[in-house]
Amino acid sequence: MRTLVQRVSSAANLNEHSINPNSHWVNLKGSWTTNIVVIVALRLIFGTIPWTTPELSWTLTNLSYCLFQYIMFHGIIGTPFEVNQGAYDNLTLWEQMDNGEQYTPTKKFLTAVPIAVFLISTHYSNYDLATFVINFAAILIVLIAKLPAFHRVRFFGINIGQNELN
Amino acid sequence: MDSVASVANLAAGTSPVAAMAGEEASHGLVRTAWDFSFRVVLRYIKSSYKDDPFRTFLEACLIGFIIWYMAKRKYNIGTNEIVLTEKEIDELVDEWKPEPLVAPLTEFERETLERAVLVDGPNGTKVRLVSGSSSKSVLNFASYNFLGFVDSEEVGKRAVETLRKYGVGTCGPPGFYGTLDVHINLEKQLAAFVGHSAAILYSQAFATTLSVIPCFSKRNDIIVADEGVNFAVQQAIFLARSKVYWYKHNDMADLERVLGDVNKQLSRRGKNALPRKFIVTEGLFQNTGDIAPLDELVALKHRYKFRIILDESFSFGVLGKRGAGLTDHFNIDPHEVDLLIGALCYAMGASGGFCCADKDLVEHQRLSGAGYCFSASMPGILTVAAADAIQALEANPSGYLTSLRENTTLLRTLLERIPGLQVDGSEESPLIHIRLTPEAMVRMRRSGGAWTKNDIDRVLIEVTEEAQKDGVLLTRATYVDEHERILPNSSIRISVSCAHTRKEVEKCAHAIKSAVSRVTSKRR
Repeated sequence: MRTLVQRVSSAANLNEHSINPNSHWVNLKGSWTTNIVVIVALRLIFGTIPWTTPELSWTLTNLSYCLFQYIMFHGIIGTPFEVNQGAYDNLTLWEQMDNGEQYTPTKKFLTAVPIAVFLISTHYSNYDLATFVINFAAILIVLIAKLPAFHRVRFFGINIGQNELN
Repeated sequence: MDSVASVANLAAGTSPVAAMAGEEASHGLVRTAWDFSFRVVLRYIKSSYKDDPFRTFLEACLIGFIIWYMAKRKYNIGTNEIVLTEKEIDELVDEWKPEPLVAPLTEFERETLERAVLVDGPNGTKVRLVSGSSSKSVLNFASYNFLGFVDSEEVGKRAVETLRKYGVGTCGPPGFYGTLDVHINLEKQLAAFVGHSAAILYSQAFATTLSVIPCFSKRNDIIVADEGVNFAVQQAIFLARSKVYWYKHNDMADLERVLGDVNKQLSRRGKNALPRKFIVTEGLFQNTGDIAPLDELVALKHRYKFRIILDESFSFGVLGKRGAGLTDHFNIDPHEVDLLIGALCYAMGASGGFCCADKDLVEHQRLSGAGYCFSASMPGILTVAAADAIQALEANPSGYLTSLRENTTLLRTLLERIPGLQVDGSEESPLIHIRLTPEAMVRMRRSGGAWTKNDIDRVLIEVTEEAQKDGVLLTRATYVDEHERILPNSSIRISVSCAHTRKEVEKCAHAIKSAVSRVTSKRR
C-alpha cells in the first residue's frame, strides 16, 4: 500500500551495547573534518572551472553537498552488515546513527554544516531569485529529513523497505 | 510546513541580533570583543541584505533553527523508559520481596516427583527399575529407540574402539579445532543417505532446529508454520523474529488459504517487497504421531513460491523404504525440501542433529548457524556410533524397517481394540499417543466438577503405574506447559522398537488393556 505518509515499524530498543559498524564511523572526528575538507575542495574545484560565476560555483557546491548528504543519510536504507537479526534493515543511515538518539553532537554538526554552507554562499554571491530558491529548496529538503518529528516517517512510499505486513 | 512556521516563531524570540543589542558588557576586553563581533554581524547583515527583507528573514530563521537545534538535549525516540523519583525508587525497593530461587512444588508436581521411576543400568528395550531395595526388569516402551540401536552390541563395540583413538570430547567448536575426520565422513554419508547435496552436523538435536531456522529466516521474513510442531521448532520460530502465520495442524486447505493471503498482502506492497518465505513443518509429529503430506506441501510450495523447512527429527530412520525419512516415504526428490533437519539421537541412538540442504545453504550455516559456530562439535564416539547405525540401516533396511512396521501395526490393532482408549497418529507411525476417550472419562467422573488437565494427567499416571506392575514401562507425554503455544492434550506416548519381539508387543498391549480397565473401573 502506498500512502502519502507512513511510519516504519519501530523495534523500540535497538541494542545500545552493540556497535553498528554501518553508522559508527559518522561519529569519528576524522569524518567531521573530511566533511569540511570536501566542501572546501568542491568550492575550489567548481571555482576553477573557466567562465563560472561565483553564483554558479556556490550553487554547484551547495547542491552537490546537499545531494551527497541526501544520498548518504536519507536515500539508502539498511546495512551491508548483519546486525541484530536485521534490526536496521528498514532504517536510513540518519536513523541508525547513535541508535536513533536525537540531538546528539554528530547530528547537530551534520545539521549545522549545510546551513552554514548556504549562509556563507548567500553572503559571498549575489543570488538572483531563481538560484536562491534552488539553493534554499535543496537545504530545506535535507533539513526536513533530519527533523526528529520525521524519525522513521516516510513520504510517498520512498524507502519504505520491507515493512511488516499489515 | 507547520514545523517550519514554529521554527520561525522560535527564531524570532531568540534572534542573536536582538540578544546582542540588549547586552551591555562592563569590562573593557569583553566590551571590545562584543563591539567587534557586533560590527561583524552588522556588516554581514548589511552585505547579505541585498534589498530583500524576506530573504534576510529566511536566513535569520535558519540561524534561529541552528541555535534551537544546538540547545536541545539529546533524547531517545521510541523507548518507553519510565523516569522514577527517588521516593518512588525507595518505595519500590521496600515493596520488593525476593521470590525463592526454586519455587515450592505444587501438589501435582510433588506427586509426579514421588512417582518418578529410577532406571538402573543402561537404556535399551529392557531396563531395570529400582524401587527401594528391590529391582525388576521391565519392557521399555518409553524411549525413542525405534531401530534398537541404543543397546546394539556392534555399535557399542565400535564406540569403545573409537574412544581409545579419539578420546571423549573434541574440546572445541567445528570452526576452530573441533572437526575430526569422522565428522566430515558422517556429513558425506548423511548427504548420500538422504539424497541431498550436502549436510552439516550439529552436536545437539534441539540446537539444530534452533540454529537452522533463525539462520535463514530473519526479521521481516515470513514463516508459515503448522500449529502442531514440537517445542524445538516453536522456539526456533520464536528466535527467528520473523512474521509468523500458523495454519491448522496438517490441514492443507488451511495452509493454502494462508499462503494465498500472504502472497496477496505482499503483492500490495510493491516490487521491493522480497522477503524470504518459508513453510515450516515436521515430518513425523512428536506431539501427535501424524505424518505431514509432503507431496501436497511440495505442490503448494511451487504454486506459491515458498521454501520448505522440514523437521525430520523423528521421521529420519523411521519412515520410507530405506528409512531415509519423509522424502523417501513419499518418494519425492529430497532437493524439493530446501532445508531438511534431522536428528541422530532418536532412531540412530547416537547424539546430535544435521541439516541437509544445497551446498551454499550448508556453507552459510558454517558461519551463521549459532549452534554450529558456538558449540563444541560432537564427540568422536557418538559420531562413529551414528555412522555405524546409518551403515547398518543402509546395508539391511528391510531387516530393521519390516519388523518396526509389523510391531507398529500389531500394537496399533491391539490398542484399537481396547475399549475406552483413543489411539492417535498415522498408521505407519511407531510413535503412538494414546488417550482415554471422552466417553470413558465421563463414565469415570466422580461427583461434580469438570475434568481439569491435572485430573486427566493423574489418571494417565495411574495407567502407567498399573502397566509397570505388569512389567511394561510407559511414559506420559510431558511438556513445558507454560511455554507451549498450544498445549497438546494429555496422552501416554508409546515408542515401538524393531528390537521388540512380537510377544513383547503383545505383552505391552495386554498390560495397557488391563491397566486401563483397572483404572477406569475404579470407584471415585
